[in-house]
Amino acid sequence: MSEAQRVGDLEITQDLEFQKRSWKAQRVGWAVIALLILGGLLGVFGRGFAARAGAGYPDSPVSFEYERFTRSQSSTSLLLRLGAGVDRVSISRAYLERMQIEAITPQPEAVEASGTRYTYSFRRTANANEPITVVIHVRPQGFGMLSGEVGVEGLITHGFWQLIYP
Amino acid sequence: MDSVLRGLAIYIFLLLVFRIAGKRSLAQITTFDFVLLLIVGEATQQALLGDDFSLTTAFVVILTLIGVDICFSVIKQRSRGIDKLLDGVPLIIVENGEPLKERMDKSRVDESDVLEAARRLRGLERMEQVKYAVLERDGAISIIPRDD
Repeated sequence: MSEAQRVGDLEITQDLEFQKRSWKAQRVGWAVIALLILGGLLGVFGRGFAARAGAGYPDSPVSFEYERFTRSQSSTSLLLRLGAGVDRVSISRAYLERMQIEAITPQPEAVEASGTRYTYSFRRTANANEPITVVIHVRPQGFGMLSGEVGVEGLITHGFWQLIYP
Repeated sequence: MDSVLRGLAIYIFLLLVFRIAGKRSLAQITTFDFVLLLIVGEATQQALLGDDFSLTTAFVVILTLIGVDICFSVIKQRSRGIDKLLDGVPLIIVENGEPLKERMDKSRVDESDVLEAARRLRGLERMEQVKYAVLERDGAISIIPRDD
């Protein structure tokens, strides 16, 4: 407890200097809260404008979209677009190790694992000329900055990063 | 380990947020404030326990919360500075029947709040009958009536 002082007839621990400072701190705190709410609306914590990210142009062998910011234990997805004739895609192992893969649509026909990457291959219909879209639903396990690579072996590799909030 | 850290993080976050919100925010619990508290509790609960339904985790989280609370109360007892920082200080808002405007504005209390407290606690009718009104650390208003 603070030491009480005498104000008029009252014995009270009033401290005007401290009170003024804490009012100021409170106003700063309000501003921070407002900024965080605004950030949340914009998607700084995921699921919004600021979180959307992509790599690769539409006609490349593989291009993909993902969330730049996401949260631990909360589902997010990687949307991969495989160009004409491409039926396999590799994702770096270091990235997938920190994710729980909930589903891959369509189901891959086979998975090959190497030291650094997992390669998923998909069965295409006879008409192999149209691009196909693969959605990988993942749930990040830990938190922190994560970097990964998505690519088609021998053709192209895109690096990307994802910030995972706790 | 995870659940202890979660408990700790939630405790400190809530402490900070309610300190920033100011003492008046949830001092007089209106029906809506009560609902708001329930929703805050609901939002907190998921993050505290995750998808772990075990008794052990619930016990660990509860022990963490209570333990941190005990720690803080001991620290507050020992250090004046930290006590002020965490709980704030009382503030005189009416002195000899005169409302201290600036202090009241900054604390988001108005004269009708003081009059309400005066009526409720002391059965007073007018501001001039109030010798002191003090905005206490928990956001309640105490009234000291004039002697006559």
